[in-house]
Amino acid sequence: MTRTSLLLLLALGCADEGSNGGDGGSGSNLGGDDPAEQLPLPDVASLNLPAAYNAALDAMVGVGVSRPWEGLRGAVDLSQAGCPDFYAGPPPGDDLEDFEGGAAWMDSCVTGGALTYDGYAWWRTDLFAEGSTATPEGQVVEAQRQLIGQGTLTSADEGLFSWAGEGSDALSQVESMAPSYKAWSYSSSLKGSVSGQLAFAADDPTPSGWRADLYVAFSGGSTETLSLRGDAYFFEPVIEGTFDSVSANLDWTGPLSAGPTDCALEPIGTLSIRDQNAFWYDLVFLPESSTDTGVPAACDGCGTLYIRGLDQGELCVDLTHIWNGTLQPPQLEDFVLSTRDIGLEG
Amino acid sequence: MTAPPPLLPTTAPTSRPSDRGARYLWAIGLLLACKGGADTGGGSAVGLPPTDTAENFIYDSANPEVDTGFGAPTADETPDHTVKITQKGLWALTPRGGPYSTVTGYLEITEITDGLEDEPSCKVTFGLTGESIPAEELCADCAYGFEVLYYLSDGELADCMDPDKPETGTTLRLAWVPGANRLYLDYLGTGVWIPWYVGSLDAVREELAFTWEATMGVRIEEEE
Repeated sequence: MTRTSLLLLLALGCADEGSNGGDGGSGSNLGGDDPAEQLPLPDVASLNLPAAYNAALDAMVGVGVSRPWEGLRGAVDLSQAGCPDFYAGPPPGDDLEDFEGGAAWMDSCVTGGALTYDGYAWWRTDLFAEGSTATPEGQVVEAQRQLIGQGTLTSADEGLFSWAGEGSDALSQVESMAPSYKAWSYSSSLKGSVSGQLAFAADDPTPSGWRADLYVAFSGGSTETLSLRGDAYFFEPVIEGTFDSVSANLDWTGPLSAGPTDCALEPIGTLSIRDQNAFWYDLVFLPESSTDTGVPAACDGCGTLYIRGLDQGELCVDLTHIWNGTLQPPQLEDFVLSTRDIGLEG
Repeated sequence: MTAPPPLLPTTAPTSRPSDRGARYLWAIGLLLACKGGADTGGGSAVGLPPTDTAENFIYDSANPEVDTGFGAPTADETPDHTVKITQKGLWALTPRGGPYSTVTGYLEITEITDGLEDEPSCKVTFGLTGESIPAEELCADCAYGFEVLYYLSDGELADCMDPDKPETGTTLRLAWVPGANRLYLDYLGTGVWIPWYVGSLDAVREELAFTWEATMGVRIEEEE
């Protein structure tokens, strides 16, 4: 049943009751008192919404597998013999019975340095590299990571790393130095929460971590594209000190790739931010999707702002800084996490 | 490369979330209105809640229920099963006297599960052949290195659980760092050199022996 039909049924239901003693005059009249018009709206005069949307976009493109992976590597580095226990392949239990290969840690233990490992993490890396960057043909790399876990690493007085969820990412890259050429595409799909200083540096835009369900993909070098689908909650109002969550459903073709029908000044879709009162501020750039056949909006970096779903008029935001090197894939060495890194020798 | 599809279906809304929230608030308001018409909203004509809190949304996109499908971790201070993995091999360097341009040799992988030394759960042998890597492509402290082809000559590789076992037909780039007595691996050709084997060079025989050994937990399906 669609929402529209549900609303219609509700309205009809009211009409019936109304006929049994209600006022009977407005039961089926959805065009009467518009409850939406009575929604209290926040005072936005003190807000710098363009800055907020820029920060939101920056924060979202940083949400991905790289953060829990960094935490995992840090946790592996701090391990000691026997704490935690490492496994060849997935650890025991039903959770990962459909997975194979890779390596894992699983334990509930305390190291001699008073670090407590509790839970598990399984990971797998697949790398393929061919050729050399020193040749005109260059080097072709395909790299993938997969990470699933539910675990924490804590010291005596603080949490160092916490991760619960699953994610995977992939990098495809061609690079040569003579002639200089580099093209890459990267995507990350993640559902989970991550926090802790092993995953987030103190100067990270989202130092407290996040909980997210997000697909992010972007490319660079010979092409410039960006796609975001999903949501993230940053635990704190890290965006302009006011907004703690972002929802995005957008695609964008950058200046390098933009064709005659593309707009490099704005994405297609919606970028939403949520304040601490749970009020959503949606910035909608038409057409709302790449398949929208409606009248295209002007290519001017301006969208329609909705607060709590109510049209607030046009808001112009220059988000194009995203094409100035903000979008960077992980380095190849970031994909390396082998048995030798675990330090199992002996 | 075309970006792969997401591992999981995202729950990203395809319409404006606040629109959706407003519609649900409409619905809530209509429902409340249907319940005898009492205005309990404290000034809100249609009984709308005073604030737009997350509880009022059917779907709160900023607070997705993170249900990864996993239960609570099971404490396991010692694995029920272990596998001792040993990789041991030898390079014969030629031509004698150097500079070395080719290498031949072997690599044995042996895995002992739960201490059953007499019954290795995996025992395979690779034949190795390699040609030298140009000096400019070597790691900083590497004396020489080879692109080594691994060819499985004996055993069932599928029995081996070593996460970093080579596949037959694989070419790996390894280089000798005499100061560290280590063979370094260009990890799958990425240009990232990491210490891979402890090595021992016999300068007289011009042979390089190398080994790596580790014990890890392992999941073994229990027989019914």
